[in-house]
Amino acid sequence: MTGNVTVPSGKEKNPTGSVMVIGGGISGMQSALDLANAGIKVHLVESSPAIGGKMAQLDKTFPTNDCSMCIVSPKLVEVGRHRNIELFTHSEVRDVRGDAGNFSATIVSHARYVDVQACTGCGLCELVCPVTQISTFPEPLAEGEKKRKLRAKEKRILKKSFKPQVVSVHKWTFSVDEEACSKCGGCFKACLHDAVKWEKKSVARIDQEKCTGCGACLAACPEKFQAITVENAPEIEKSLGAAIHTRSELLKKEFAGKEGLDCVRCGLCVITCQKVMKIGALKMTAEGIEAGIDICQVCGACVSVCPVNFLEIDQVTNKSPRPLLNTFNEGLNNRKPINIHYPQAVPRVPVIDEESCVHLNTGACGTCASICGVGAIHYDHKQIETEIEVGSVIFSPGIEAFDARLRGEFGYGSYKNVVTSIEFERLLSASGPTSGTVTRPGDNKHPRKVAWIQCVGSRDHSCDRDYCSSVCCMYATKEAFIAKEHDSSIEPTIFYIDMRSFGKNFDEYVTRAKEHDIKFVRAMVSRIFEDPVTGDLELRYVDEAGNKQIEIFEMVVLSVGLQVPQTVKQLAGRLDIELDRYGFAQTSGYTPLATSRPGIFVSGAVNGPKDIPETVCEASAAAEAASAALAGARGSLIIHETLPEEKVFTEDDELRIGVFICHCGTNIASVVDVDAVTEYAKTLPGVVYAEHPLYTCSQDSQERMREIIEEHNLNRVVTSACSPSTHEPLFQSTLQQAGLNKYFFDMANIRDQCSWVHPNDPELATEKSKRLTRMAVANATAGEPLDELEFTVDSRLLVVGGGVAGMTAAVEAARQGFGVYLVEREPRLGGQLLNLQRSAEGGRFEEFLFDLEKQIAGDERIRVFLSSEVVDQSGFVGSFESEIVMPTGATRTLKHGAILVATGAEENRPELHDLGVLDTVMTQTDFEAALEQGGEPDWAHFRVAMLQCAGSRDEDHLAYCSRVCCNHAVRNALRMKEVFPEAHIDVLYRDMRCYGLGEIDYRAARRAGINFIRFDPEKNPPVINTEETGLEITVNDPSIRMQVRLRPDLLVLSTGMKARETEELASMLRVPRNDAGFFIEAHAKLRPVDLPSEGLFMAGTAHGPKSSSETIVQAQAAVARATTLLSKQSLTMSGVVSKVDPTNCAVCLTCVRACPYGVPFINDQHAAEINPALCQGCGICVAECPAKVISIGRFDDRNIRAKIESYSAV
Amino acid sequence: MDNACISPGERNQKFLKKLKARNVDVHACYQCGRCSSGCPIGDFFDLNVMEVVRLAAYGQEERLLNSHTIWLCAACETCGTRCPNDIEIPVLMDVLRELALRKGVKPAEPRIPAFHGSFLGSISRWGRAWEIGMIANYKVKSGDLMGDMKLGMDMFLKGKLKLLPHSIEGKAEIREIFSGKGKEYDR
Amino acid sequence: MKLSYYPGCSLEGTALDYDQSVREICEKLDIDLVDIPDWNCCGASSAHMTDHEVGMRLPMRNLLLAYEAGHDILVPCAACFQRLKAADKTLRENPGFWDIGVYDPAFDILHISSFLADSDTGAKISSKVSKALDGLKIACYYGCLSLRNPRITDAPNWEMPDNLERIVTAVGASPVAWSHRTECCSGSLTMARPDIAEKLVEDITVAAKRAGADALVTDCPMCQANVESRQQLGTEEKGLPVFFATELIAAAMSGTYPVKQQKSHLVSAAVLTDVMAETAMRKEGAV
Repeated sequence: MTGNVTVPSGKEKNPTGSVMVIGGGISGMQSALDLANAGIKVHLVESSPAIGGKMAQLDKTFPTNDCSMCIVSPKLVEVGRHRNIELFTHSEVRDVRGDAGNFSATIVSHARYVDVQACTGCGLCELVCPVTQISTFPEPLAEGEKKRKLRAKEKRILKKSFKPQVVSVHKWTFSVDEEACSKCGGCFKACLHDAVKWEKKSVARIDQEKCTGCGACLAACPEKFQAITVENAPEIEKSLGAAIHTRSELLKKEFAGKEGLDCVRCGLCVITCQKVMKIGALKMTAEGIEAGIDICQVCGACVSVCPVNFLEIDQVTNKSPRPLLNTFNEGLNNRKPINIHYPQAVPRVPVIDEESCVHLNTGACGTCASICGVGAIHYDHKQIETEIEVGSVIFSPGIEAFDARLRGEFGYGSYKNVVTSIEFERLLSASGPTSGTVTRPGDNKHPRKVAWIQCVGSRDHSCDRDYCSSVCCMYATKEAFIAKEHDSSIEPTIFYIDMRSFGKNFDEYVTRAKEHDIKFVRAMVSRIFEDPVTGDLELRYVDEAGNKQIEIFEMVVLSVGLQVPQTVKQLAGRLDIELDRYGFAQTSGYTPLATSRPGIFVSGAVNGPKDIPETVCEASAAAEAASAALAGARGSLIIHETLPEEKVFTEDDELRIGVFICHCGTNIASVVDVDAVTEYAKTLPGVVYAEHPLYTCSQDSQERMREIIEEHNLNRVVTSACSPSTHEPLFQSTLQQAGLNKYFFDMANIRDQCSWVHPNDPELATEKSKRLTRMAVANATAGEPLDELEFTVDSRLLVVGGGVAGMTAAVEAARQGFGVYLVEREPRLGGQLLNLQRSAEGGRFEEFLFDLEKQIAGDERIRVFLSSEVVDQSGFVGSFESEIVMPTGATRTLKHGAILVATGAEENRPELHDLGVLDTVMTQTDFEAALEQGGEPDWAHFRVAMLQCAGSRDEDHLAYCSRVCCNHAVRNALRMKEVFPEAHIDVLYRDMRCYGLGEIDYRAARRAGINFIRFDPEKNPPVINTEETGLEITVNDPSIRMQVRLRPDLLVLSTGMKARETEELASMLRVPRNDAGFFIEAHAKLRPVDLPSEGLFMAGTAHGPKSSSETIVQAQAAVARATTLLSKQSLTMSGVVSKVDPTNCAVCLTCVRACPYGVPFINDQHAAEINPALCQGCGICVAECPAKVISIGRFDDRNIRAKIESYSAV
Repeated sequence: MDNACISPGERNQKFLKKLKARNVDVHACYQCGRCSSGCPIGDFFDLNVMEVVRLAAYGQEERLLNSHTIWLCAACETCGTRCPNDIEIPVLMDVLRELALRKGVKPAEPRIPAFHGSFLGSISRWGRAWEIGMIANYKVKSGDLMGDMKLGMDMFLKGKLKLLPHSIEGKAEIREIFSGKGKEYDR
Repeated sequence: MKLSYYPGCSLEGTALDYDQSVREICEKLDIDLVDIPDWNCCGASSAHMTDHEVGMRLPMRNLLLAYEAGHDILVPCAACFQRLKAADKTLRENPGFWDIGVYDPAFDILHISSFLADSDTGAKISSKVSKALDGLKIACYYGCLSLRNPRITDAPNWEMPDNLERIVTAVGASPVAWSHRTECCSGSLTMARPDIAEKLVEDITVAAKRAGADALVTDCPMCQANVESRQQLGTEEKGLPVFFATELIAAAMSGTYPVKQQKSHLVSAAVLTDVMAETAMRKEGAV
């Protein structure tokens, strides 16, 4: 039932212990990691040249304003270097044959023309490639036809007012090869400085005195003779193209800062066109350059080699140029045909674009291959087909943004200063086309007034996008927020219909935005008028008071919705899985991840629009669903890591420290002078090596770090980069791979602590970076190798709470092959679902629960304890011990390796509007139950009023949005109309938050005649009179600006959800809860079901209000996360733990009292002892011990002292 | 506008049925206000477009038939075209005007129906529009005798106005069409 | 090529010259126009705005008259076009409701500029241009009814149309970029509420001038008359003439812009005469 059970047909066959994951976005990456870390081999297929997906394109993420790239890049790296994840980038899945458990698939990898293994990602090829346009290549030669020189019919002289200023700096030496010379005199005619001496029937000679080095002779000498030789040209030994690039760069430096220069007659354009591109459309003349505009192939090479910007692309041709746009930057800037997808790309290996590369089309150029130091470029690459065997498939190809041209009234595509939200993300991004400065594309002006228009391609029946895209309200708020952060003069306004900030802490985020003067206007704009002169944009709207407003903005951002790309729909067709009319996968609320084809599971926005945390949840859940059926084959196809023997150093070994100062793109380097810091680091005692990578965490940098450690035989490593909490483990594992103890490492955070907090004081920020680096070096010097305790893992799972989350988790964990203890406080399983009636699709929860209970009862791996509670908990990740009290009063101790908290939530029942006093007032849950019973006989013509947010989003009751109430109300209202068509229903709401596909029901409800009246608790609260004699509600309906009086027979309150009482449990498990009593996840974006403490996970409404199917997803996700742990034989403990030196212990018991975890005890040797496995490494005992006999790993006094001393040392 | 209190209880069901018959799904509205903000004539309205749609959903026929808006609407179809819920607002306006005339509600903008009347009168008589006749008739009906006199003359002098009507063969059919027999609402 | 032709009342009256230019260029493009026999007024806005039944039956009669011939129907007037389309759709949906046995004619209903702007015809036009209208800066003005509602008109890009731009380019003039191309000029109110018409027309002409236009081009006789007649010009202020697309084509093809034609404008059409004079001079210069 749950867990997307898929019985492999071919039962006799054993399932294959591998999974194919389609799509390398955050969803695919998370699935891949959870699978690979649980002993399942993964084939990850990504159609673009690198993994990362949409998240890599985003600047910051809501509601924490974390840098998207900063939090995703560790995952990129982990996937990139994972032994059990095989990456297929620039690849497509052709087909999937066979059945669940034993699929075979064909993967087509398109020709990349660059060898992924050999390439170091240095990016030099991209630098030297002279092509900037999509060329119009000359007709290919027919069979046997031999190449004839192209002759221009249309010519144009390019010149400035004055004559060319002939310059011969860095000039090459040209001479005539007497053997080869055909005595034709071409060079003689071409030379404009009469430096070529020639008479009829004699070999030409070049007078070096007169020669200016323009190379007209070289260009003129016929291909078949090639009698002109070039010398004194750096890089010429590589290729002419390489030499041209080198000289061009030298000249560019020469002329840097000099504007509007005339042609300097360096000849590079002419030589490039003739000798590199083999076109010969350009020729030097006395007054300038003659362009054969009809034969020009519009590759742009001449323009990019010109050192003085004398040439312009539209001047040299009669065709209209087609610039090659950077798709990763949403076409906001240009790129070369050979291109690395983005700076942190994994793999950081370029792809050559077949459409625009000159060599691939005409055989000319070939400059990139000539300069590649490792010979990684192979123009003869063909596409490769790979056959793989997998047990399951995860379909997570992701989504695209709505094409805003379909809403022509906003002028996207014609009005330059109207951009889409994803384009705006790139404009905000430090690695984007404007390096994070907000400018408008029309004229690069800094916009002051910027407007966001919501629901462009969402909630729009007129263009078949009936659904809500779920993320736009929040990302628009975030973009406005960040824009203002980048440039405080920006005045953002967001035009919206309903503010759908339904997620955990989302409302707080919006409130914060309002405090930062971000204006929210509840009105839709009908069209945008562009001022043809200024490029400013006029928006007209009717405000809430009903007055027409006209407002001018300098830039407008269209909050485009999410949609399933055509290519994905086709892929789904090839995989034979069913999609709904919008292209989202067909799934059911009980098996939210199972597609119509057994063994293929879906995850991410292609399973309905959703944000990053929900996608990460689904990704883990899909991994669980996909691997459950393969549990038998776990570990059968994976490779185990073998670390090199750890090097041992003695006191008298010379100190050899390597320091890596990170640019973090522009995050650090834009403020901190990383060169200076690097140079400074080299001067520090013990430092033998220092460098400054663009992204120290990127895969290639990490590879390089490993090589450097070995090459320079380092015994300490320091990085000055970002936050240790996110990146230290990555760097440490690199140390281990280089045979160093991972504690021979320290890290200075010069991003958060320098560039981010002192953006306006580069000098001091740089000074501070030097100091922090110095301190880190000192600490590394003081560092000692620590060994890590290894211990075996108990593979059983304790599930606390027997609601739908706990029950699902139990069933799934059992299918994964683990023993489960399921502890429920109540006498029966089911939790809150027992009080609810039907799922979104209309299925009866009763039957669903019955089914679940049957599975639980039928599985001997699951032990259920009803009317029981966890009263004590001890142990540590991998081997916990929990004590439970059973109904008999007897206690019992359970041993297990992980804990899953699924304590759930319940309906809130506030004392509002005589709820519980009058039987004409009830909650949605009561109402649903009553309806399920067929209602009352007199309901046929009933008037029902529903009040949304009754005690929600209200400081006096529940401060938060309960997320489910709007959909619940809509479903109940529809059901009422279904049973009693004559009944009348009014719904009083603040914002209808029918996110995702819920919007479709909302529309259905409106069309069924259910009336929705918006109210504002401050501006126009409804006046509600509840009497025995009857109910009366008076409210101002802003849509008609009139009072509306309702006399309902029934008042139904949407009261929201409140967390169950878990205070004791929380303190017992030492895990945090928020003010509302919901558990706080380890990371709001990327670890949504992990609790901060090792080995603890959570699922369902214990984390926050959510629907039953979202709960099922979380349960499966939590099991997936637990499986990465329970599936291991053994774990290793952190080396950073407290250690008592018994000899000087005074047995004062200070540590015993001080430890918040109750770890220290007095052993039979009458000394304090600390079990390293239990110690959390907080260091309190170390600080408290009066005798100073407790030490803790790398945070010892000597470390701290070393740091402090080096701080003050100058 | 006045602050009288309305109640969904008093919906005019007959009116709502008529809208249904013309596929005007006023209930589909989710109150985004695009229709109001895009209306070129909105500045002259007493009820903005969304108010018309929502009042229709509340079955407030009378309020609507007495409004200026229904007459000032120029049938430019901007609202209906941009409505994300595909509500046929222009048809709603047609229905409201037609009902107002059939029920003999005194129009808030008398000149406009007067114009329509004159125009249709000329068609029902000749089968095609005859501008001079129509204009004359309108001036009498609306009492706006002097307005646009100069413009009229200019047009006349530029030969844009024919002296005599062009009358078609099938006048009988046209009369039949105007006879009001077999009106869809009565079917 | 044979087309049924529905001129509509304004082309017999206020827009007589529109009719002439249409017939003239169709002849040059050897398109044979057959007037729908005994056609009647489509009822325009007035009918459908006040009496659905009449508003439907009037255009239906014309459709039935054209049924026999079966040729596509060419309609120069945007209002007529929209009414004929609406009637056609309604009839095809449910002829029975209108007491008509069978109705599924082979014809399409074509609005003039979408017909003239299609690539072949466009090419034909430019090939027949004898005087290109170089340098004439034009704001293409579509108004409402040839585009909205797309559910009626089947217009492909009802918000960002380009038919008029394509035509204007074909005759050598240059269209300007501006935002009011599909804004309403309230032609149907112009008699009863000139004040409203004046305001809307002002918005449109001001925008067109700001975009640098010398003139407007339209394909709707209501817009043409309304926008020309409702411009409130102070002394000194130059008005914007509103040309019919076909008027420009005819001029560019024939190379002449007859005085009678010039006179038909309420706002001086000098810009066009000047441009044509210039091109003429340049031609001579070149010779």
